[in-house]
Amino acid sequence: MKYTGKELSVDLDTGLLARVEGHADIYVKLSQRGVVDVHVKVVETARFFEAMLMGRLYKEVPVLASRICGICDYAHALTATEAIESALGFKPSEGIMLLRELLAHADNIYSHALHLYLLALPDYYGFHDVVEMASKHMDAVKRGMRLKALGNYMATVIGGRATMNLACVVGGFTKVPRKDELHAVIERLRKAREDARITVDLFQELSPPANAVRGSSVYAAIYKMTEYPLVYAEGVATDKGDRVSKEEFSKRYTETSLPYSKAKFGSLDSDVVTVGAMARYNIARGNLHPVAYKLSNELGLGNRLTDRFQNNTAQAIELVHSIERSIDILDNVNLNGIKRSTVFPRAGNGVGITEAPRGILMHHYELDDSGKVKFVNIVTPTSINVASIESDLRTTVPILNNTSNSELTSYIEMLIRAYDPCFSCSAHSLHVKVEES
Amino acid sequence: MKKAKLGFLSLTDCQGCEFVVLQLGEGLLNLGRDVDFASFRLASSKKASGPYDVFFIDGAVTTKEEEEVLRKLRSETKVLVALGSCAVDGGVNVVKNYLIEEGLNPTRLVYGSDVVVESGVARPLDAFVEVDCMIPGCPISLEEFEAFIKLLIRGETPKLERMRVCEDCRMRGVECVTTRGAFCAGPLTLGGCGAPCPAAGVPCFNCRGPLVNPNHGDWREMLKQRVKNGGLSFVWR
Repeated sequence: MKYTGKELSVDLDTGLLARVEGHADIYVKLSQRGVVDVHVKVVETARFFEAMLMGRLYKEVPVLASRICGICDYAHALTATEAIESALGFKPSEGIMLLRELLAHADNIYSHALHLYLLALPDYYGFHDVVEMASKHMDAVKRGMRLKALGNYMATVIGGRATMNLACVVGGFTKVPRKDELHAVIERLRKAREDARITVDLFQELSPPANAVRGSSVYAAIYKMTEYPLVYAEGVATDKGDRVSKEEFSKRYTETSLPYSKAKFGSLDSDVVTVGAMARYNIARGNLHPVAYKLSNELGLGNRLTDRFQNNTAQAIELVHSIERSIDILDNVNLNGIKRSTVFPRAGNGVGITEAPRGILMHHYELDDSGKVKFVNIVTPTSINVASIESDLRTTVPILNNTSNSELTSYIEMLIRAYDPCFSCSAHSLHVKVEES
Repeated sequence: MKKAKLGFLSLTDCQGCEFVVLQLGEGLLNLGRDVDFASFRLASSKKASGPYDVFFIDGAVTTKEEEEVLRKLRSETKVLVALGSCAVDGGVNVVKNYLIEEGLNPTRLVYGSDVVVESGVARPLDAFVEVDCMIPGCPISLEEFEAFIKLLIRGETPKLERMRVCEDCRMRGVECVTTRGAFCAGPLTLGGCGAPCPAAGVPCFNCRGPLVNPNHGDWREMLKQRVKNGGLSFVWR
């Protein structure tokens, strides 16, 4: 490690951590006794979405909220819609809920493929990016692009556009896909089965960069008795065995503003929480689609993934799950009954909790008589995971104390990337700085 | 032929427009033969320093630091492109400006009183530097971006077509959403987007900004007629 006065600073070539969504700094302070301080500083310029949503009409909320994030845009639209409809006392029909579940699977397929192939894989193969990686691994790159395009295509057919939902609105859908369009989606999903299967094998075979990271946090995901849910859950479950309703979660999950970060830091009953594909797997593995479940058995993954780097494996398993589940829905769903209902404004309180590709996403709104927002609270998966990333760094960085400056930096980057963070939800670039006192 | 040196950078935004660029998919690899992605933090850990031939910047400027980064990139770049509505006119961030104008403090509303978060008024890129090319939209249209980048890497500077969104609707054969009683900003809005919103049954909300000389009179007449014929609702119906 290199001393620069009192500060031991690990600067990436660039000063910025690449291939993550958004901007954040990592600050690590080391002493002879170990890590003194670890801060994940979300330095992205603040967006003030919660303030911008105040006073807006209920219909506008999902449209504005999807602009929080350019990769989880559908997740924000779905979560805001669930919260607003709940506040207005509107219960969507079975068909509407299934069409929305398909949008969540589309987002999951798109986002996981993008993260696994474009953001994470270049680390393992030793390239700066996917364009460089294509020179040696064209098959893998094309496979990633195909899977990602499949998610975009599903979103376009059902939601009207690949990025930023259009058709899914409060009260239902402004447009329902035609039969032939959905048939084309099924065909492409069937063709993608092979790609998803190879992805699981690929990420299972890649060896993690260094020691396994077994965090001490609690895993949390939404739950539903017989499903592996992404939307319309009964509540939130933890791997400690807790089950709480959505409303209770919104009360018990607390956030603190910290002086060094623009993301707020959260905890559930004082526990540090980890969310995302791995948390979903650990909580609801038994409810995975039988094809995905069987695959996890063949690979001997067991009921519980413990190494943080296995979040990539969990995402790959979910690619299989989302594809199979989407085919099942499309083979059985009857779209004849789906329509747009007129929803009337009224005062109310509503919480929506869904699984964005990177974990639990909560929107909580209170509306006045005219349907305007008078209270808003949004909890994003990355703001939940930031505390967990800090806690992991606290335990693993001292073990790696003897590694070189650049190795430590790339290790920290890979660990953070495995969480598939999305810093736009509050702020921008990861800059790793280690200080020794 | 020497490869054109390209860069991408996001300021205050959701980065959605950069994710649209990534939807080029294999097109990205083809593009990689003609250009050097010298700086594209979302997709690459490579970072070559300037000068650049073309630099795409998405997001609005809301801090002093962003302003400085923008000015530096301007000085190192031949053709600077504002990518997406936030860079073109401030985009959704401008809602925050309304709060500031009303005397509210967005920082205190979101973070509480003991946190200092720098964030001033949201401004578009051309409030600070000269912008050579604008690609509006929330998010940008992939087709428009593809057409533009082909010209940009040949050293040409493409111009936006001066047409209404109504023209896009006609070309695509989309039934006018105002016939269903919706309030649509399409007649006043700069077209070229391919009308994804009306095609999905959602009225245009002017994400690409106004036409230079929109015909407000005609539009008002049309709205009056619709009101007469049985009501008009804000946003969707």
